[in-house]
Amino acid sequence: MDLMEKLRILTDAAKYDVACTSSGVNRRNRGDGVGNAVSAGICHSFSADGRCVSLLKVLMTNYCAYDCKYCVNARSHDVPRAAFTPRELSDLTMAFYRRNYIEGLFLSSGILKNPDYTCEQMAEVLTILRREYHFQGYIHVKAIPGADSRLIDRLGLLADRMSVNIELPSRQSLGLLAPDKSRSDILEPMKQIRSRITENTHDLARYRSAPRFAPAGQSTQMIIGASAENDFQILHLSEALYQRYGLRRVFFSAYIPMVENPLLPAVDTRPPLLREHRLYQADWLLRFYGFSASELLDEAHPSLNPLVDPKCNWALNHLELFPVEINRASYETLLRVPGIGVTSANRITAARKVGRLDWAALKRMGVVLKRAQYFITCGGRMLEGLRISENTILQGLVAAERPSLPQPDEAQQLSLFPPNDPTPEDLRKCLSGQI
Amino acid sequence: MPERTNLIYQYDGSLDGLLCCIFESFLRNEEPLDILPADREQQSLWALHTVVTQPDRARRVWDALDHKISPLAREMVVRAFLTCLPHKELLILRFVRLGLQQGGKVTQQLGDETVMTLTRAIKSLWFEAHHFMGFLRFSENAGFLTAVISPKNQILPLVADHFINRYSQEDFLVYDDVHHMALVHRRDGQCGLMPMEDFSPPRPGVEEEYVRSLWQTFHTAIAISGRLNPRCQQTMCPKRFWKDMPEMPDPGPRLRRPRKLPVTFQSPRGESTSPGAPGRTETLDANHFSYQAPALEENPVLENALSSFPSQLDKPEPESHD
Repeated sequence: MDLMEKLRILTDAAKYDVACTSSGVNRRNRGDGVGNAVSAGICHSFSADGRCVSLLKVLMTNYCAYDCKYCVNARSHDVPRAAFTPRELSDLTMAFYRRNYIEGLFLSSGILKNPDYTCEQMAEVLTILRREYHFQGYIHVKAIPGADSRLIDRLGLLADRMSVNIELPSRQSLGLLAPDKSRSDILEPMKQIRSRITENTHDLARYRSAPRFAPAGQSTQMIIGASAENDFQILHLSEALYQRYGLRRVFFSAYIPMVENPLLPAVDTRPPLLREHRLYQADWLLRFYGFSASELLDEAHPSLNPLVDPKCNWALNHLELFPVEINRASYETLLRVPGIGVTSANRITAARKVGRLDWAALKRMGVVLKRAQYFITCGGRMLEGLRISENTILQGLVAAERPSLPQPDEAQQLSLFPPNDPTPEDLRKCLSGQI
Repeated sequence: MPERTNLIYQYDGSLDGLLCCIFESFLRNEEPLDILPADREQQSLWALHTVVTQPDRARRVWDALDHKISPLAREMVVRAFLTCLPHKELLILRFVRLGLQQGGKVTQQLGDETVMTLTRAIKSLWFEAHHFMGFLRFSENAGFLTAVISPKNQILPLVADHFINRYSQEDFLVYDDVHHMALVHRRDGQCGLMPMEDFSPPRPGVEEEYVRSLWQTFHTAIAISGRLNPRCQQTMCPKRFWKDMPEMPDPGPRLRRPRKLPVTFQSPRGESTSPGAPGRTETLDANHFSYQAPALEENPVLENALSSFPSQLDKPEPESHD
């Protein structure tokens, strides 16, 4: 099989792994390597589905010994199979990297023979890149659940970010849909990576040139919509993962039905893209806005509101805390106002030190007044001409959100006439004054 | 207060020229109607006043920006000069006047219109520079990397450090065809930004075409058909970048790169690649290219860490899982 065909098969097999950031590490090239890493991450291209392409995202091989029901590459599915040799993959990575097509490599794999053997093959690729080619770009490697801890350790010394996919949010769904992967198989490597990273931080504090273990941290991924968990359970699990395992990111992947199976949604089900979008918004609130999962959802309200984003939803349920005065409110309070994000809150607190702010200044600074106008006062006054009641706020926020939601498939052009052309009958009636 | 005049200042288009215009404005205690670079042909009803660039005057203004306002304000002036903001020179002049009145805190004065406009323009400049760090594509020819970009702002000074650091082992050239500037770097460390009137990249060879087609295959395969969203793709990667990115579709006649006649190209290593040159056959054996690693030293810290692993790990016994 030639390289082009292998690349096509193994990219196609890897595309459902949505983790594709190249962020988290700042590494300058000190003349002893090829390439560098930028901590903000760089998007090199965008695919036809609108997602960022920043790394060469491939599987080492899509031969797999496991039989996870939701996965295209499961053992029992009949798909074309391929495998890269370590040398082929390293050369391909360098060819793309030199032309500035990618920031680095994202390497996952199906289980060839057993987890240890697969991990060893992946370590071979990383070793060639780091030691032979002196590659200093970004490498994100998937730790294979069930592999030996020494192999995980070795991968971590060579890679920038490691991840283990949680896949399904609960033990029951995992047992049902991915019986080859047990929960402990997944959580053990995550614990090990977490403790190794902490240990490495202490080492670095003592010896500045200690070898770094996974400097960009670890992340994980969950599939949304393949099993019956609600948003409340998913969000709580994400929060626990951030707190207990110190993850950098939890990714959500809307389940795209590719295989027919009685345990999974039907093949013609539309993927839950809006639900995934709301979960990402809630995830941002947890990480940057100081919210906790129990503030956003609870047992009585287990699902995120599809009509408004989670922050607006929270604000609507806590109207007693608003309006806040822009010139006096603390940074944390400003962050909770819909329409004010981290950038605007920083700009407001910086500009406040130099002079009083008015509504025109707020608009110039990038505050989204369409949403924020109901929740803030400026110099003691609400926006000119704004009338507030319980209903107008909800309607206003829903209207502000509508352009970002998927529009109905056909735009309805309004017409004075019924959909059919007027019949001669109707025309006659019209002329004689009966219509 | 400076008096408004109906004069238009004309300068040579350089940063030193602009600083001299600022000097002139303070010397005459007036604010001109507009400040225009000399290469722009303008039929104007208003009188033109040509400001001659004098290095000592420019130096005085340069030092005053640092001492009397703040280093950050001076950096803002330089960055604002690189943007494509209309009437940027006049806004910079107003910004300097405001800064000399208020001191260093002018950069925080985001409620003021001039300051906010400049801040937004500089932010847009950084965004475009960041875009180009990702969207710039090199083509390799005889070991020499070349790239052509068409930015709205002058971003080469901002991305130079990034590319020089990343490709420190390579000879490369990045050509900006809007501002006629090029960033050139040689693997022995010599590099610089220079004006360049025109540049045509060499025609891609067999290996380059092969790598481009691999990249196109990857880019097509990575898209999930159930989530196709061309609107989103265009928002995140505007069509004006597409002409220099081999994996993107054709952006249409208005945004396409105009075809130029191919030229003979002399790489610094003395190999010339002229299209159709007789006796030159390039073949790729077995669809495989290999990477020539540069001769660099081993990283001793990493070697030590990895050598502590037992050697049995290097060749495990493959267990049959069936």
